[in-house]
Formats: sequence, C-alpha cells, structure tokens
Amino acid sequence: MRIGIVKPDFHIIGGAEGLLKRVAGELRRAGHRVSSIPIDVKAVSPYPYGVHISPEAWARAGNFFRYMGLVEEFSALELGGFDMVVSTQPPSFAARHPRHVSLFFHHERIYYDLAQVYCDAGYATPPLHTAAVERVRQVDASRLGEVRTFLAISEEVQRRLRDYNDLIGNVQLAIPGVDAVDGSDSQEPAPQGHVLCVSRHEFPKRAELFVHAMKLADPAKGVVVGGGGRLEYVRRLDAWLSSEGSDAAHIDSRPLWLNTGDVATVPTPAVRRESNVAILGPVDDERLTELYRDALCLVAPAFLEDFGLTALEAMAHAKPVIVCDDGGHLARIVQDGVTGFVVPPTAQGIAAAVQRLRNDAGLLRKLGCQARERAAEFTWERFREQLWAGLDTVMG
Amino acid sequence: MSDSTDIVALLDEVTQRSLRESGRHGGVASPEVSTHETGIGSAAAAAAQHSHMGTVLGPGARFGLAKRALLRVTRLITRDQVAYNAAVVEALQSAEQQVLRLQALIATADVNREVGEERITRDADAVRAAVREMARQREADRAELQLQRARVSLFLQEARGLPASDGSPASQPRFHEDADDAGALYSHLEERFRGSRDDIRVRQTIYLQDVLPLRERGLPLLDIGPGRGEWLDLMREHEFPAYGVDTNALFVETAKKDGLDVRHGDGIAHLGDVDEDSLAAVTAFQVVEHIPFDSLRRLLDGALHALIPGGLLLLETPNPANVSVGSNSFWLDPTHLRPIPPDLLQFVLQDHGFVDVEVRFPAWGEDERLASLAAVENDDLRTLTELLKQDFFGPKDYAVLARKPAPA
Repeated sequence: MRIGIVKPDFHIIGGAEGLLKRVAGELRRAGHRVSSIPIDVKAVSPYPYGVHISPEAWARAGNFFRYMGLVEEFSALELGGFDMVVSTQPPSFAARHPRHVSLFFHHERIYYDLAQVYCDAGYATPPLHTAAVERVRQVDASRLGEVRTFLAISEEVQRRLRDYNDLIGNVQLAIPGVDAVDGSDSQEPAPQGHVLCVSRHEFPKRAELFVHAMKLADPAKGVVVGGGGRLEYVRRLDAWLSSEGSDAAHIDSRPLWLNTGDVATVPTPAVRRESNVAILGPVDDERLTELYRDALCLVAPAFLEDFGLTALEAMAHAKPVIVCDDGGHLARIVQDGVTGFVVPPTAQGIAAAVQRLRNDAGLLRKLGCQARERAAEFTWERFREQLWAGLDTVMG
Repeated sequence: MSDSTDIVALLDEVTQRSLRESGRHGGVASPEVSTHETGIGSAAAAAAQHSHMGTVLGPGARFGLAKRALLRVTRLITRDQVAYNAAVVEALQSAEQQVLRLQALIATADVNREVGEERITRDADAVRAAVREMARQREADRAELQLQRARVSLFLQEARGLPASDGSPASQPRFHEDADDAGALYSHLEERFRGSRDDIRVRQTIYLQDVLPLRERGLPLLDIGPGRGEWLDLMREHEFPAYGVDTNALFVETAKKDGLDVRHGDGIAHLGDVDEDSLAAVTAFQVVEHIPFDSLRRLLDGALHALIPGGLLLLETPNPANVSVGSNSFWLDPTHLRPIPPDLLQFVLQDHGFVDVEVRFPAWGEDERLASLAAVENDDLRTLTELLKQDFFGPKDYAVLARKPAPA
C-alpha cells in the first residue's frame, strides 16, 4: 500500500515526531510505501479561504486565522494517489481520504480543554476567543466526521474526543510505549537526590509551580530541564522567589503560572540569593539519563497533559512521580501513594509530597520500585498491536 | 483599530467558507516547499521592512525636528508612495502564496502521475495476460473441437468399414473418405502444423537429386497422399511427369484447381491397379504414420509391383527419434495412428526386398534456445548440448529412400 502521513510541520523535533518516525518504520517494515506529507505552518496563506485579514484582526485572532489556513491546506491536499492516509496533529485530520486513520495526539487545545485558562492567562479576550472556539469546533466537527478511525494516544485524549465531539465508536487507543532502561540507570532513588522537572517551558506546563514548590521544600535541590518561550520568565521568577522579601511561603501559586509569561511583570529582587533550583535549559539525551538516574523524584506539574512522556521516562528509571490532580493523563499514569503522589496544583501540595519522599526512605524505595513496574506496562509491543488494530479497520 | 464585531465577522466569513468548501480539492502547500526556496518570501519581507521608508523617523535620528517638518511637507507625495509600497508588499506576499501552491500542485501531481503510471502498467499487464489466456483457451477449444470431430469421423469410418449385419462386405474400404469432416480436419491440420506450402517445397528439394535422374525413363511418378500438392508442383516445375492419388476430396479439388493431376482414391489400392513396372518412382510424404501396419506392408507390396527395377520408393514421416516430436507434435494430428522409428521403417523396406535402403534426415536449423549453450567453453556442457540437439532438437522428419531391385 502507498500510505501518506500528513502533519503540520512546526519545525521542531519532539515526542510526536519520534512517535511518527516509529509508525512510519513499522509500516515500511510491513512492506508499505510511506510518504511524509508535512505542511509548513510558517508558509500558510495569510488569506485563509481567500479572505483578506486586516493586520488588526491578525494581531487579535492570528491563531484562529492561522489554524483555518491550515485547515484549508489540509482539506485541499490531493491524496487520491495514496491507498491510506494517517493524519497526526491538528488540523491534519482535515485531510480527506476514504481510508483515513487519525493518530490523534490532541485537539487544537486553546479551542478545547485550554480555552478557559488561555483567556484566564490573558492570551485572549473572552468574547472574541469564545467566538473563535465555537467556530473552530464547528469546522473541526465537519472534518472529524469524515475520519474513519481515531487512534487516541491516551485515555485522556479519548475522553476529549468523546466529550467534545461525541466520537466513541470509532475511537481506539494506541498508547505509546516507553523505552526500557538499563538496570544501572534505574537504580533506587536516594533521599538526597535532586528533584527533577523535565518540561518545555510553554503554557500551561507550569514549571513556575515547580520552582515555587521548591522554595517551600528547601533544602531540597531542584533541577529544571527544557527550553521554550517561557524559559526566561521561569528563570526570573525563580530568582525573585529565591530572594529575600519574596515571601514564597505565602504567595498564591496560581497567578505565577496563569499569565502570558511577560518577564517585565516579575519584580527584580533587591538582594539576590542563591537558588536551590538549577534551570539548565535543553540538555542532550545522555545528560537527561544521568539526571533521571540520580534524581529523588520527578515533578510533572503540567495542566491537563495529553500523555506525559517525561513521567513515564522517570518511572522507567524507578523514580516516583509527583503530578497534580488537574494534570490530565498524568493523573492516570501516576497512582497516588503507589507510584508517586497526585496532589493539588499548588506549591504547598507539591512541596509536601517532596518532603514525604525525602523523609521516608522506605516509602521512596517502594514507590520507585512500583513506578518502574507501572512504566513497564507501557510497551512498544502494545502500541504496535493497538496501531495495527486501528489500521486494520480501514485496510480491511 | 477594528472592534471585536468586525473581527468576529471575519471569523464568520472564514468559517462559512471553510464549511462550504470542505470538499474542495485544489492547490496545496507543498511538503517540499518553504518560503526560503521561493525567494519571493524574503523579497516580500524586505519590501515590508522598507515600505514606510521616507515617512517615519528612527528613534535616534539627528535633526529630528527639521526632518519631521520636511516629512510633513512631503506627505502629499509620500502618502501615495506608502500606499503603493503596501500594495507591492501585498502583491509579493500573494505571489509567494501562489508560487507555493503551484509548486505544491506540481509535487502532488508528480506523486499522482507516478501512481497513475503504475496503475496503467499494472492494468496493461493484466489485459495482456487475459488476452494470452483467452488465446490459449481458444486454441485449446479449437483443438478439442477438432479432436471431437476427428473422433466422430473416425467412428463413422470404422462403422462404414464393418461388415453389415447380414454378412455382406463393408460398403466402403477404410481410408476411403469423401470430402467430409475428417477431410476438412486434415486440411486444417496441414495448414496449422505442417508448415506453409513454400516451406514444404523447400524442404522437399533435397530429394530432387534422387528423383530427377529417373526422368529420362519416361515413366511417371506416383505421389500417394499429395495433400496440398507441393511435391507434384515441384515435379511439374522440373518437368517430371507425375500424378497423385488422395483420399481427401478437399485436397483433390484444390490440387485440380492448381492444374495438378490428382485423382481421388486410395493410393495403396491404386498401386495394385497399375501395370507392373509402370512407375519410375513412388513417393508418399507424411502418409505411412496414418495407416495401420498391414496397410504399410500392402503399400510396399504395391510399390514393388508398380516400380520399374531401379525405381525409387520415398517415404517421409515424422521423426520420433526427436523426443519432442514423438511425445508431442506427432500427436497434434489426431489422424496419426503411430509413430514409426527410422530403424523400423528401414528394416521393413529391407525385409520386403528393397535395396539401397537409406535413411535420410533433412538439414534442420539450430534451435535458438540452444545457441547460448553451444557457445560455452565447458566440454561437459557441450556434450550435453549435443545430446539435447539430437534427442530434443533434431530433425522433425526423416525419409527412407529405397530402390526396387533389378531382376536377378
């Protein structure tokens, strides 16, 4: 079969790209001819559907017009030469093909599960964004209805397809696996190990919540790994929270992350003090493995996460994971008191969990061991089986 | 600044078009194309950067006050220029999108063309295979039909050759058949499998050296079963008096139309009817394999009776020493009774009293399937090739030539 994999090209290589590479390899091994059909998000027409958009309109609703431009591009793809099409991130599901399987990572989240916090953070104004939300969902519905089979990457994403789109019967799971970790790299966590947070610095991954929590968990040491648009904001926030007079113990965590990440809003500390958090930015795989290996635990503070790869990676390294109860799929991966802790999305909640692990070596060991067992359930073999089960529904 | 109402109206416009055009197919952004590749993108960006040139001052400009005054004065001119610049920038951006779309169209058209070509090739192969299969089936059906007709015909012949229930002799001797289905069948078989008339004539020229010296004896040659008359035609060409006798009325009719002397009847019986020592030569091409062994013996008896001393008997028949002939092509003719090996025919003639009995294999072309094998250096392989040549690719026919002995 000639199979086309359609995807928006964001010019980044992340977890989704790695997963798609694996899917393409799987299809090729089965003897199919696989073509990648990326659409460059930077090259999308500034005139979606031929409508001239004023600069003011772009400034206030650019995401909407850009998204619609992508919908237009994917809808217009001429895919008749392919025997099957696999779509990926939104809105590649707008591609039209009678044998269309959507490997569904997530919706365009600011119009769905993040719609409210997006406005709350100040990225958009409610009346206009609400109008955009309604229209995006309307257009999405017209395209999602044509997809034969959805392969949701997690129960969380499956739930969203059900709740937002009434899609149930043709939604299956294809949950990615996590690579097994060598024994030497999955040693028992040590109470004196650092508390790790691995996250892109984007809204609402909430690394802000982590650095705040670490101030309350002092003298525990924290390490933050990852790049992104809010990295500088997180750095400045950490510096301020470390300073005298910030009174970290009495600050509400929510406003720290629920904003647009404007560095100008962070007060400059009068007297700087050394932080107990090292903010490393992006690191290579080797360094990341070391950081997992030597960690006390991982904190994954993200809001409504689709999947939670970093949590699984930490668990494969036998490290307990602390997540928030509004963490989406993270709160499904981690079982409270079994493989880590599920806590309220506050610095206090996270700090308390960190302290418990630091103070109870037996509990730390037990949770780490159980975390590793839980991670072992996320195998690539299971993913392959689920993938083929989904593909078979249209290959038939 | 547009208010929210205007922007929502734009959202609506885009949304409605998207919903309306959800089924549209057309130009697409290309997987392979980026703005960098078009060149227009960077031109548009550069143009956009300078589109307000001459209308605004940079933050650190010297003599700002005087320059601002100048700008105000020249605004009448620059206002149009700015509008023009903006239009150019927009046109460039639009052109860039068009280029992207065109390139994408070409890229996807390439994929589709490739797929189309594959499909055409696949379909053409399928059609060719189907045609081949149909042709094969048609041949098989035709052969089956001919076989059935031949069986019926032979059955009729047998029935006619049997004594009547009242004990009276059979109404017709065997191998006397009018222009019935069997005759038509044999005519078709000749056309289909024996070769063209010209081919046969050429093949038969190798016997001229044996026959023509007898011309001076002034006596005729009898060709038994002349079929399409190639040999008689050759005799006519060389002014050798000759005639034929054939049981197949169709052949007789055709030969007569060609001006040849061919008589309808049983050639073997005819030998007994002619005077003793009245024929210079008796020939029978592709006949003896059609007749029972007893008939062959009668033919030899008749030839000994009719030939002058020193007269020539020539019998040509398929060569079963060629395995392919013996196992396959011989049986393509359902009226063939049995193949006769060269050694057997030679022996029978000698046994009957003929002298100078010679088995002759006509020259035959090398089979091209053996050409590459014959060229190899390996001796074992060459030996094997020789064996193959003899046993599988050897002469398809052979002839036995013999003379009636002079009286003691």
